[in-house]
Amino acid sequence: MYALEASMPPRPLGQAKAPMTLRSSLFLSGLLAWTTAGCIFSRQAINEPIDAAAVAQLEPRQTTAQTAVELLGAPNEVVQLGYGTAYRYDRAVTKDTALFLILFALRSSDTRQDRVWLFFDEKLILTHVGSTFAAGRTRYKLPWSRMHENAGG
Amino acid sequence: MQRVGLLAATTLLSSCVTGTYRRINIGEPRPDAVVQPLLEEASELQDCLDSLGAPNFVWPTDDGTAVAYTHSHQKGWGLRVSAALRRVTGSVAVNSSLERGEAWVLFFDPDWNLLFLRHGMLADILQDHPRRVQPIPPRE
Repeated sequence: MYALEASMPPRPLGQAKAPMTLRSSLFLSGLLAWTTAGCIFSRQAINEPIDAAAVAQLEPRQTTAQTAVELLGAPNEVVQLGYGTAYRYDRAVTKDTALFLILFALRSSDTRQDRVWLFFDEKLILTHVGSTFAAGRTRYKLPWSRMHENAGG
Repeated sequence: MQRVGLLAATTLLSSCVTGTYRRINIGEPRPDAVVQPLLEEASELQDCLDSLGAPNFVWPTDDGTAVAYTHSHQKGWGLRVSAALRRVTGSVAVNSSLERGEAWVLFFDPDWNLLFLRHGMLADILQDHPRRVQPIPPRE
């Protein structure tokens, strides 16, 4: 503030002091912007993690639906497929990143899932297993950064 | 000139003009180079699950089973201008959003052989191949 005052021209005697000059208002604006700008990181998860070791124990043509449920718990969805059925297990993780610059806000959200589908025949014997473990690849990223380095199962 | 600058700074700082930019990603895309060969190789369900992982959706169709892999990517920006004049307050907001949702849907016969593939918007594909509603007749 002293430097700011020193650079100003001398004020004639008897003249009232101006309430706020452009420089001081810009200084205050900058100070306000610097102190009130912020960022937010948030993480949300839906459902419990799926036990990858338990999924590895499932063996097509041997594991029954009862064993699968004992290992993984109740499925999130059961789909009737002809005489057979399919069980879905999933867990989702969302990471949000937001940057607030007072007048401009940037927000990026990334959601990925761990998913397991189990297909059973009419005798409730496991026929097919599909698993994706992608929730761990969810990232905090700003809108301009690359989202997918490694896509796939 | 100073008054204009002061007015501009005051107007902006009172949040009369605010802008936003957002990007929302859900899931991971499946590369064409991985999906397309599955049909040429006369794949079975387990081959597809091994290559693509677990699908997002599974539903019965009249001819067998459909298995869908989906990915959604949305980008958008917004601009909001608000002003208060005496007792009247008004605001104008403009939003633009571009959503790219795509799906690979694989169709299997009752013996789990891959019949054909569809690529596009999931809603469009569902319209052509809806979920089977007729009950399954009992086994003889």
